[in-house]
Amino acid sequence: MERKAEGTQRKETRWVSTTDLQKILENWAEKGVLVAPTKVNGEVLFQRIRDIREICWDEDYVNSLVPPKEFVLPNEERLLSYRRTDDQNWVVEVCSEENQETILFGVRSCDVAGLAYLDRFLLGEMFSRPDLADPQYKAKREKFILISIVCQKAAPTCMCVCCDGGPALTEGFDWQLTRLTDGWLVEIGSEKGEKLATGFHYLLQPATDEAIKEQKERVATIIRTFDQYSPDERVPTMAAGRMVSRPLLKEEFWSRIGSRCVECGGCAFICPTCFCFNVVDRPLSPSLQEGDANELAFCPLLVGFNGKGADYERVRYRDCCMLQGFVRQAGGIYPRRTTGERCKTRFFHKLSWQFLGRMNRLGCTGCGRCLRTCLGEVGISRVATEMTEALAEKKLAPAGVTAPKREHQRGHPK
Amino acid sequence: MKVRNDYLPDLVRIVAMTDETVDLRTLRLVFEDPSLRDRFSFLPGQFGQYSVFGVGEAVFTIASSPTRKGYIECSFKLMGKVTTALRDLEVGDLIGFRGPYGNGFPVETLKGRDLLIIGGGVGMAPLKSLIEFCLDNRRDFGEVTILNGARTVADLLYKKEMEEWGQQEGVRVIQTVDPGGETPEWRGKVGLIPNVLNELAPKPDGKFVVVCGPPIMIKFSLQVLDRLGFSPDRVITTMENKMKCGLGKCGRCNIGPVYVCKDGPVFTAADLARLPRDY
Repeated sequence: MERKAEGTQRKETRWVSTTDLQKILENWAEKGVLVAPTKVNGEVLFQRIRDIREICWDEDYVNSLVPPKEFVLPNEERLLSYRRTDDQNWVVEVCSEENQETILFGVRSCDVAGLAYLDRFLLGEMFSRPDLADPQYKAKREKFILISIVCQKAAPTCMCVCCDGGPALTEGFDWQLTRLTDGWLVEIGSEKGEKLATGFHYLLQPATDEAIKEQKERVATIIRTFDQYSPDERVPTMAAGRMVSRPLLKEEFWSRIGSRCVECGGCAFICPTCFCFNVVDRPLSPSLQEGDANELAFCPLLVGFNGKGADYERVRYRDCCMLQGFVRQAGGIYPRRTTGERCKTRFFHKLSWQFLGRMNRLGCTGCGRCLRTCLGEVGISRVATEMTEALAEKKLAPAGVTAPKREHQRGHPK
Repeated sequence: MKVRNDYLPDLVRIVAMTDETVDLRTLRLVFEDPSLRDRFSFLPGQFGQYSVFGVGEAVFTIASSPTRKGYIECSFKLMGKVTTALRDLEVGDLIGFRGPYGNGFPVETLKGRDLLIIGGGVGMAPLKSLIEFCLDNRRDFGEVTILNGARTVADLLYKKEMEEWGQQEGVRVIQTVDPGGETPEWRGKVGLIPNVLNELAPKPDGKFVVVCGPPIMIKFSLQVLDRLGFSPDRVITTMENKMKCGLGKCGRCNIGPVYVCKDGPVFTAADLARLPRDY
């Protein structure tokens, strides 16, 4: 907690009044693309907006229903299109669209951390191969300017303080805003952020010492809100990480967790750090070529090979390791056949030290969406807690391994 | 703005095809782009993504050796959607290829060593690349012992090549079929590869072993090799996992902390021992 509040390394700070911030956004919405949280049927969703009155301001929500990763890694994305020519040859074309510079406003710290995780993986840094950056992702990501807003209240499912994912970050954002009693503190975290600040220099003012002090206090206060859960009730992510890395848990533990999974795939689709995808080929009808959305909805995904005359596309769509067919191989080889085995793999990927080492951070940023979405409570915070409990019970763990004593269940804030 | 796109396959034309068995076919492919024909280089054991346009992509190893320029080969078994469509194609048809991907066999480490190469079924495909590489650089490698097995005599791959390799100096070819798969004319061994290996009882003596085949064969062969005293870091094997991208992005080939397409597909038995048992 203290480390967070004090260790925030500020590169550069500014102060902006609420009206001036609105002016900045208004100005941007006119000339560029502004994506911001909006309220749709009572849910907060990120959308492109043209009028800043549509913005759902940070006081009205804790976090959006789905993370903004869909703007950089869409649910479905065309990679290639190809057609057969009359002389029986194929012409293959890369699909690339013109991306406009976009401000992603009002992102929460956990989602900024999630995007940083995706960057490391999809831009090839995990394998130390920047040349292997995913072209589609890179083209979109380069155009995004992230303006995050520090949370000042926590939802019952929030656990960013246990995952180094918030409530305030030290890197990953372009601008990090904190709402103060009067106006906003702006922290500039990147070159893109500096460029933006230079562009709007006439609306930004130097941050006073009082403003910086107030921001620190506010971050410390929000961290204390998490402590209302009581200090013991922090989600034991490090202990869980130790248990999956070594691995200390018996198979029975995983089959018990797996028995609660209904294989809806929700956890991966709403996770800010999940990136796995599938690639399929499908035919492109003339109306599809014109982008008819209705036609697209009924397009069969799997089709036979019906030769010339047709145009095809190769699309990728996001996939989920909890679904049965994810790792099915030709020849009937079928690793991870049970939900328990798949849960084990998923939590290993999210929490283990092996991945912590490769990705420089946990695969969980603590947004808590998986717990909120899951029908069987297979959310990370719940499972991590159960891991330590299983050790405490000593039933599902080998002899001699003990966990710290925990007196309370993780509860809701009063 | 046009971005370089790793998902864009190069066009390759099927110039020849050989039916190895009833359901296994080898295609010889030549790049449409003439400059790629010479420029394309790879290591034995690396793989590629082969596209049948309109149907999809599948991963096969490159079965030819990088020393034989101008073409690449792939062997595939009739299994699913893509392989069925691939089998319907004829000489002269175009398919897509992108690669090479993966780490490949550590040929530099293998130089100067005696090799024991064990292949079962379609697992011979990456080994064919390695064997041809060794034979084309004959002076760099010691004795090569090839143990090849299949379910039945009809399922044995690369019959012509095996015969050629067996005639070369310093190469010994031992073939085996599963019990019940032999024919009256069969002069090779009868028995599962791990059993035949046990019977042959090769001595470690600084040899490197390369094992490729179905997971069950690899599992028991590694146990036998361990009993025979082979050090796990001198036993090399390959893994095959479902892959969609080959670029370390789609997440399907993830086993424990590794991605088979980037960190593999070639692993030593010592590497495998550190991975969770879900392959």
